[in-house]
Amino acid sequence: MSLENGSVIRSRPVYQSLKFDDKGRFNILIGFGEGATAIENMVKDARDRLKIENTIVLISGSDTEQYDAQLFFGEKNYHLVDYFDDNNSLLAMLPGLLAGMKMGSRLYLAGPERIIWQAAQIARESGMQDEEILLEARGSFARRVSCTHCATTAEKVTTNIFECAGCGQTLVVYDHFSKRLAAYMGFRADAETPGEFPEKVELYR
Amino acid sequence: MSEHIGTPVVVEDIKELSPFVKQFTLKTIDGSELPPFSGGCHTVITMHSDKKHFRNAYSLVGQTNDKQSYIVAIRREDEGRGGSLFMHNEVEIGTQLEISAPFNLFGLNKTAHKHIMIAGGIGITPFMAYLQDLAFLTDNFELHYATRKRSYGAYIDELERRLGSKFHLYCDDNDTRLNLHELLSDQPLGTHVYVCGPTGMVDAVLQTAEELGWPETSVHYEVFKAPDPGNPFKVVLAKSNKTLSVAANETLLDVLENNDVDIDWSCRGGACGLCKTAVVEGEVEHRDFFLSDEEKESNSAMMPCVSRCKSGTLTIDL
Repeated sequence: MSLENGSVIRSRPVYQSLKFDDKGRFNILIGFGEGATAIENMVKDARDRLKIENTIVLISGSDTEQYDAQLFFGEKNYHLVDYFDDNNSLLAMLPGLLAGMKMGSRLYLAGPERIIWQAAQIARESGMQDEEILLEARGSFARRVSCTHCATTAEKVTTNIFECAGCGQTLVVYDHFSKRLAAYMGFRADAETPGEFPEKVELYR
Repeated sequence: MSEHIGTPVVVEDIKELSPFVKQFTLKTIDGSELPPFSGGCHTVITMHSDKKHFRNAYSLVGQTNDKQSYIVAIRREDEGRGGSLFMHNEVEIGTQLEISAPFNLFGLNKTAHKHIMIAGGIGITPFMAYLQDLAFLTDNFELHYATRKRSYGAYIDELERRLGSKFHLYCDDNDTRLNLHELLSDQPLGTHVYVCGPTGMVDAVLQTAEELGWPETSVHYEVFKAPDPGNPFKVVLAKSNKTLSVAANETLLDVLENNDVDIDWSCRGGACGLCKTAVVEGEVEHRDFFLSDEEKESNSAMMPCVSRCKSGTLTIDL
């Protein structure tokens, strides 16, 4: 199912390259997988303005060895970068890290869309506002989808329709995005005409 | 102005809170119920003198669910336009006034994890109702109150008793000063700051918060003061073909009302946008917080509650 009449779903996130916000006193830079490149680019651009002593860098993913800490801050400060084997272990330590942060912080998130929004969701629960959270999507655009009928969340959905693991209904993946749930919305694909489904195609890679 | 026929009230009680501040309890005359309100709400009181009427906005300080009466605390402004002096000098128990429905331009952010309230002088008033809202929300708040002398402040004994260590008083008597930088540099994520007081204090909080990297959405403020006087000017009403004079200590809105010009209004402080009026000719001295910079530059609209004229004569579309 495509969007008809060129309608625009305003909740669908739009991304730009991460830009360093000079107003922040403390910076947390997080690169999930391919997102590390986006973090690296931002640090290069802002090298003169970014205070290393007020900055924490966290990188996750199995191929992160290539993101040598020296690329960020030079040999002397390599210890400022923490590596995680996978995205989930990084996400798991985020609430604890944010609990110790002060007003005036900025959180930079780069990586697959469905991961950065989960991190943003944790940040919002920690009290951060949208102005304090900066995001850039890199890598997979496979969607995290919340079923509007049974509230089950599906990870890594790449097709326009899929079967909900919770209620078994075939759902259409919609462009409406919930920041609160960090997921796109999925609803019954044959709601208009029961039994009639669009052809299944891969849309989100 | 049918929408602004206020609720008639009678002054039921007057208390002197300090040499400058009186508290008035206003009760409906016909026994009708007043709406409940939220922390930070105002009401606009209409006062009728022999010559003209005054309209001033005051924060509601009483119980937010009291349907019989509203309570306001009013500082006497000797240099003001006369409304507060009228309340202090002419109003007695039994005086009849009119009040508007409550409205809020300075509400509590209910998603905040921590609340820091900063009050200067009579700016304590909105926080008296905030505290009632907070009682249902969280324990995680602080109230910082700066007043020149302890005896000049309002509600200090009550606040000390109710809030204990959450209440911080800064005055000459205890020789303490509010250190904004210290206060705002060490707050956890999710903190919101609210400031109500004189312009200088509000500006200092906004500037300090910005320097420390606070996002604008976490900083809330209300300037507690009547519109400043300015140069007198003439105003031409394009539609009704009238010319009126605005004296130095009057606002354009006051003059319009005293000449029975129909105009909508609410906050009377340049914040809500209701009295926005199209400008035909003349250069506006913008003093509001409502219009965007582009609108101000275009000189196409103004807020008559606070803004004035730079060019001597202003033609407006009324």
